[in-house]
Parts: sequence; C-alpha cells; structure tokens
Amino acid sequence: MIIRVVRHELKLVWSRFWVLLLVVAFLVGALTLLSHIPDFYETIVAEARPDGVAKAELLSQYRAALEALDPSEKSKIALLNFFLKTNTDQFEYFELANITTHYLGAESLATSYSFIEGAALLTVPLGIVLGLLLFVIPSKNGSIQMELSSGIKRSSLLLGKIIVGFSALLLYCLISVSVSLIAAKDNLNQLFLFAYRDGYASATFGSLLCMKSLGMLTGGVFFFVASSLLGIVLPRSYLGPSIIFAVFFLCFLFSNVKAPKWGYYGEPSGLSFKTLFLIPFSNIFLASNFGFLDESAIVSAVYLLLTAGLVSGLFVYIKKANV
Amino acid sequence: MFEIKGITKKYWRKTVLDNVSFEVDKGKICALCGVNGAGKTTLLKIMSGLVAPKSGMLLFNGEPFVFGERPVVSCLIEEPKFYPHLTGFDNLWLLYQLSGGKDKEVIHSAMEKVGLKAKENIKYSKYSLGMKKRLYLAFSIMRDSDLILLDEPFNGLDPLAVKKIKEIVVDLSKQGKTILLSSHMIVELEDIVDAAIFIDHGKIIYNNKNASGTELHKLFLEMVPAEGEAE
Repeated sequence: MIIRVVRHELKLVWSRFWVLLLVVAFLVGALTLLSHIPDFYETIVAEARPDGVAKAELLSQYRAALEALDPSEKSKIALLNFFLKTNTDQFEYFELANITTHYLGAESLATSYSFIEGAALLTVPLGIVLGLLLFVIPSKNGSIQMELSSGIKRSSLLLGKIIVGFSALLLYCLISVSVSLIAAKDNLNQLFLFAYRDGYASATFGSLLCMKSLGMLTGGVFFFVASSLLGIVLPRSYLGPSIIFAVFFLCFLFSNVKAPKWGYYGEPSGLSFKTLFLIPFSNIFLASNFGFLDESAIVSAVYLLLTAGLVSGLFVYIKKANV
Repeated sequence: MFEIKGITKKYWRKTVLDNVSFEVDKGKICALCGVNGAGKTTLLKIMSGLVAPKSGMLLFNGEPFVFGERPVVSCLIEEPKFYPHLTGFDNLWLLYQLSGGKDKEVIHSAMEKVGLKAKENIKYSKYSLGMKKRLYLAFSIMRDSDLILLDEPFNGLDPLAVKKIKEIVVDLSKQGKTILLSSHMIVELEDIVDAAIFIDHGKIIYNNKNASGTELHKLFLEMVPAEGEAE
C-alpha cells in the first residue's frame, strides 16, 4: 500500500511537470552562480615549505619554541602541541577560514566547497517546499481527503508522503556531494586546519564534504517535517512555512554575528556549546562542517530526535484532527 | 442494511449528536434533513470514517464498519476536492490506481454513467459545479461504493444540473447502492427519497422508512420550530 502511495505522489509530481522544471532550473541556476563565488576573491598562495628545511628540523624548532613560549600564549602553545602530537608541520595544512578563496594550484577546492555551501543553504527552501507540496497544500485544499476516500489507510498515506519527501532530500544531498567530490577529486586528501575550543583539529577535504552532506540531510529533513506540521496546524497554508523560514533567516544572521565572518567558515571555538543549541536552525550546517567534533554528534542527535518528535506530532495531529 | 446505533459526538462541551440511531435498507435513498447546525454533516463525517464518535456503533449487515475495507463508503461534503490541474479522467485514474485498480475501462464506464464521457479530457478546474459533483458520483461508482453520502448535493446548482444529479442518484439506487442525502432543500428530495430522517439539535425527531410520496417539506416546517419560536 505504501508503494502505491509513493507511486501516486511521484505521478502527481510528474503531472506538475513545469513546477518540477522550475525547481530544477532554480537549483541549477543558483548552484552555478554560487560555485562562481571564488572568482570574486583573491587568490591565496599556500605557504610552501622552504627549500632545504626538513620536517624533522621543523618539528625540533616547534619543540624549542614551545619551551620558550610564555604560558599566557595559549593559542600558540595549542597549535605547536597539535603539530607535535600529530607529527605534522604547518605546511601540510590549508586554512579552513580561506576555504572559499582560491588556493593556487588547488582552485577546485574553492569551487567545490562553494558549491556544497550553496547546496546546503538551498536545502532549507527545498525542505519547506516539499512540506508544502506533500502535506500542507493537500490538507488545506482537501485533496488529502480524496486520497483517503480512495480506500488508502491514513497511516500508509502519511508514511508514503514522508518517504517521498525524505527520498527527494536524500537524492538532492547525494547529487550535491557527488558533484562536489568530483569537482575536487584531485584534492580530496588535502588537510585543513581549524581552531577548536582551546586546541586545534584537522580534517581532509573529502571528509569535510561528506559531513556537510550529512548535515544538509539532517537539516533538510528537519525543515521538511517542521514546515509540514506547522503548515497544517496553522490556519493559512503559507503561514507555517513562512514562519519557519523567517526563524531560520534570523537565526542564521544572528549566528553569523556571534561568530565573526560566516559562522561555519570561522572558528567553532568562538561558539560555546550552549550557543549551538540556542541558535538551532542555522547551526545544523555549522555542526556538519565540523562533523568529526563531539558537539556535532550531539547536535545532530538532538535534531534527529526533534525530527522524530515532529513526525510523531504530524501523525497524531492528522489522525486526531482528521485532516 | 446499515445500522447506526447510539452515536454521540461532542466538540468540547457541546453535544453535536446525542444518541442518534436509525437504519437504512440496502438500495434505498434516504433523506437526512435538518436546519444548519443540526448535526447532519458531523453524522456524515462519522459514517465515512473522517470523524470518530464519542460513543456508538456503525453496522453493515450486522457487522461493525471496517473503514477502508467493507462497506465501501463515499462521502461528498461541499465541493469535491479533486486535483484541479488534471483532467476528469486523470483524476479518477490516479485515485483508482491509488486504491489498487488497474483497468481503465472502469473509469470510462463510470464517466459514461454520469454523462461525462465527452468531457473526460477537460481539466477539472474548467468543470462547472454540477460537473464536479457528477465526477464525484463517477468516483463513487468507480469505487463500487456500498454507501454514498451526499451533503447538500444541490447547493449552487441550476435546475438542469439538479435534475441530472437526481437521475444519477436514482440510477445508483436501482443498482443496489444505498444513498444518504443530507439537505435543507427538502422540496428537491421529495420525489426521489424512499426514507426520511429529521434531525434537530443533534437528535432524531422523525424517522420514516417509507417516506415515498410524503410532503416532507410541509412536515419538516411543522416539526422543526424556527429559531426564537422554540420556547
């Protein structure tokens, strides 16, 4: 029965071919524009290891510098400790803060990252539009009752619609991350360095992209379910989704004010654990950028729990209120 | 036979239906009459499974209703809510497939029975109100409904459209479908109904299983006092 509902929803999407075409054109256009963002920035020349300086020599210089540093210079101490602990030097890393600008010799990184950044931001309107199309509009204009009248079970109908929404988001995230990975295929192992609380951490570019796509998916699903529930509960179709979008927009601005530059390009050390929860909407992307950090796992788990709660709410509301 | 036994429904503290019981024989057309707010629509929603009652039972041939299985119930409340961007045929075909159907001929035949065969490739948004209601009746035929509930089916229709709907309803009853028509345009019902039920303030005040030929409109005015005259 659920398969019949999924097929039904896909046919309905296909029947609105021009809407589908418009959405795809919008996504492709927006992503093409966003992937050109790096062109507007200056080119950064990555620091190269000076000729004749061996890594072992550099590490011994770090050790000496560490002993000479004043204990108040915590940041420098943390950085040197990080290099010594990981047996790496400063020339093996790119700066995460400069990720959207060109690194000479590795321009594809900036294009690839800008692309997935744009795709992540577009996940928000995509999730909201899916919620509108699958749940809000059919429940407001009554077509959901026609579907129920055709003998389909309420639970199967809801589950089928949720599966279609989730699948669309999953497909979108998979395409986005695939394009990003292909664009940066020669530099996927490039290490990036970023400050983390009182220390430093690093990640390869490939893992950064993968974590980003996971964050996109979690965020997208959250926005899809939240806008569906709020859209059904509130009297006007567009009221719920508009509120969700406005809250996201404000939180996004606020989080970027709190953390200088763009929150998730910058340094997570600037954001406390508490802040991650207080500014929930936009920080799902922040969390996904640094997905290998402790906070991300917790924040993502909270989002997933919240999403599961909203899905249950949607089921209960539609059942009890006879939407 | 359909039996409605002791149905009670409350919205917050307000009792909308109070211990409503009646029976409708298979293949009969039954009128459900009452003023606005008497509880007609709520009763139809309960009978179609859209609203759950606080208490009471719905029986079909002595067995409780299992919504989604048997009896197949079609319920039209106000205007049908088909997909406006699809044609009449595509609407029925899509919903037929959703219910597991595979034979397009069923749709063609249903549309022919309601006189929409020539209009089946016109978009639903271009249909007149009468055609929209007829398409819903085609939907009921397509679903092979045992019970068809129609809430105010003549509202907003011109006399020709009313006549057409009445013809289809009579035809459906001849095919063994049971039809419950809720309306306050009682005169329109007099020539087609077999049974009649009057409902007022959530209670049944008149129940006649052989109402054919009865001047229901006159009777209704005598039995149901106008607002302000009740005391």
